[in-house]
Amino acid sequence: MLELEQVCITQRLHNIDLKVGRGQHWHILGENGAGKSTLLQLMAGLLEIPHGHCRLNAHDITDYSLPHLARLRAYHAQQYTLPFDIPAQQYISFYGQRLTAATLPAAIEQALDVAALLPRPLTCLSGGELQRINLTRAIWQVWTAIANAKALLLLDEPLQGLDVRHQLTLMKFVEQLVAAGNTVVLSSHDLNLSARFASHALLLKQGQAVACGNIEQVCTEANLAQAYGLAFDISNNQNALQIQPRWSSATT
Amino acid sequence: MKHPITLVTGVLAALVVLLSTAVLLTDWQADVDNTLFWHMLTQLQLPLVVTATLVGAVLAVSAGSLQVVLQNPLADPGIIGITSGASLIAAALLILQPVQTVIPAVYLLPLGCFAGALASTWLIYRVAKRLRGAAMAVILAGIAISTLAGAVMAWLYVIADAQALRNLTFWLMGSLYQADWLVLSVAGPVMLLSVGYQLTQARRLNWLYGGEAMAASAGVSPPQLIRRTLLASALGVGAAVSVAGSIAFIGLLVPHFLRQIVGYNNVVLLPACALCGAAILLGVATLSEYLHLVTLPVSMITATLGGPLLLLALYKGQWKQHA
Repeated sequence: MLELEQVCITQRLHNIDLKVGRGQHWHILGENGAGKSTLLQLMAGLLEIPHGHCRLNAHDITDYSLPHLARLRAYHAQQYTLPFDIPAQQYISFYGQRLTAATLPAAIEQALDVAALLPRPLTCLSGGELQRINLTRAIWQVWTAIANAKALLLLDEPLQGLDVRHQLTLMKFVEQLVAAGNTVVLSSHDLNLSARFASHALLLKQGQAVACGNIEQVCTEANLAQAYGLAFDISNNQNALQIQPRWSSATT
Repeated sequence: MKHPITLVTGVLAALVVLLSTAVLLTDWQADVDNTLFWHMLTQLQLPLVVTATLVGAVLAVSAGSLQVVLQNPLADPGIIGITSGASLIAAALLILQPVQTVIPAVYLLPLGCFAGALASTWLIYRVAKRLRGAAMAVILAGIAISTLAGAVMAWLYVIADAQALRNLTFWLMGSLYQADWLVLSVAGPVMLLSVGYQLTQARRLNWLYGGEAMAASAGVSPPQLIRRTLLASALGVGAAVSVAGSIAFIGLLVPHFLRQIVGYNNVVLLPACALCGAAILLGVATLSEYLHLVTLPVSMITATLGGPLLLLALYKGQWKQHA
């Protein structure tokens, strides 16, 4: 569905190759400033690509018009402070169909628990609540495409600020979307959640790919140590990888 | 949700019609003969109504869209220095050029206003871009521009003669009585187009609430939208200044108070702003017509009403800033 070929962005990304197939669930991993957000932005068609290609359904992403992209790809950015006291419901409605507690899809409500937040002004929400509203906004914008199983969801650190329960419900929801045939690429700092839910991963360090492919192939002790400069213990527990940083050698 | 919107829009539209009629019929009861009445109607009252309506509408709508574009609920063409930039160039042109060439001034003045408005808009946009998120800094920069323009105009006082002094008051405080059909024929269409263009962008402006990245992901190129909206509002405000001088406070208060009633959706908000801005200036016109206060500068009235309202809103914490 989405294909990157030798993508370079000066000082941020170097020679990235990536093939995201339809119905795959990718996580982009790496330390702060590794280039995760930049990569998601260019996949969303929001950045000029000076070198290399980014193709969506075999067409260069720059060939799509922004209004066309807006209907099939969702993009969630890291937090942005809004200067206006807009009620959450109205804010979300600007980017899609009119959203009310009645039209809010049950699946979104189950995952993000936002019905109670809808009437509240954005400035009166906590960080995690605002994050859930922003995720709802991104998903709602492409809800028709999601229903047709054609959506591409690009989420920049969707787990940031969420409590444990909402992290889980969100990942379960993403799992459902992917199972239905939608494609999801998100960035994450939670290696255990990524190992548990992602089908594939791309591990970045200083704009370069350390490893790329199936989640089990990417999450190895050697790869993680290289990307994070930290030793990890990885164990397999009931078919899910458990990834623990090795505290004793935390200062390498 | 729907109900107050239609109600407010209806009330505002009715007010505009009512006040226009009131101004047009100022001389009705006076026992004047028909030709004189018609002459006054077409040469005095009608230009007054057109000026008040268009200037009020363009100032309020431009402020509404500037606030979204600059991501700053305090933005207003007056406060951030667009009107004073336009006034300054116009006043300088008037005073520095010889009196004999007054005729081309009809065309020169609007051009000067456009240039001044565009220059100060560009300046304030650069500042807003540099100080992303620092809402207060943009306001302070605007105040700096206004103060500078005011100071330069004060210097112009020194070299101006008596006739020019009257003009200076006009450029500093605004008046609805300077416009005639000749001036309106240049500035009127510009104001109309400016309002019209900004109304067509209302849905896209909604996307800017969440920031430029969100607007782009929703399907519009933010730099293009921002540039065009700024250009449209600067031209509109420039035209407004060229017919009515600088008028304070309309742009700051109208969008702010309407948002409390009709919400943030620009598709509803901007037309409501246009109606409300027009209604307020028509109200000022009605007031000065019936109380025979023709020489009263408009800003004096709008500031007398607007100043306390602004303080009240600030006191109630309606402009909480995170920056």
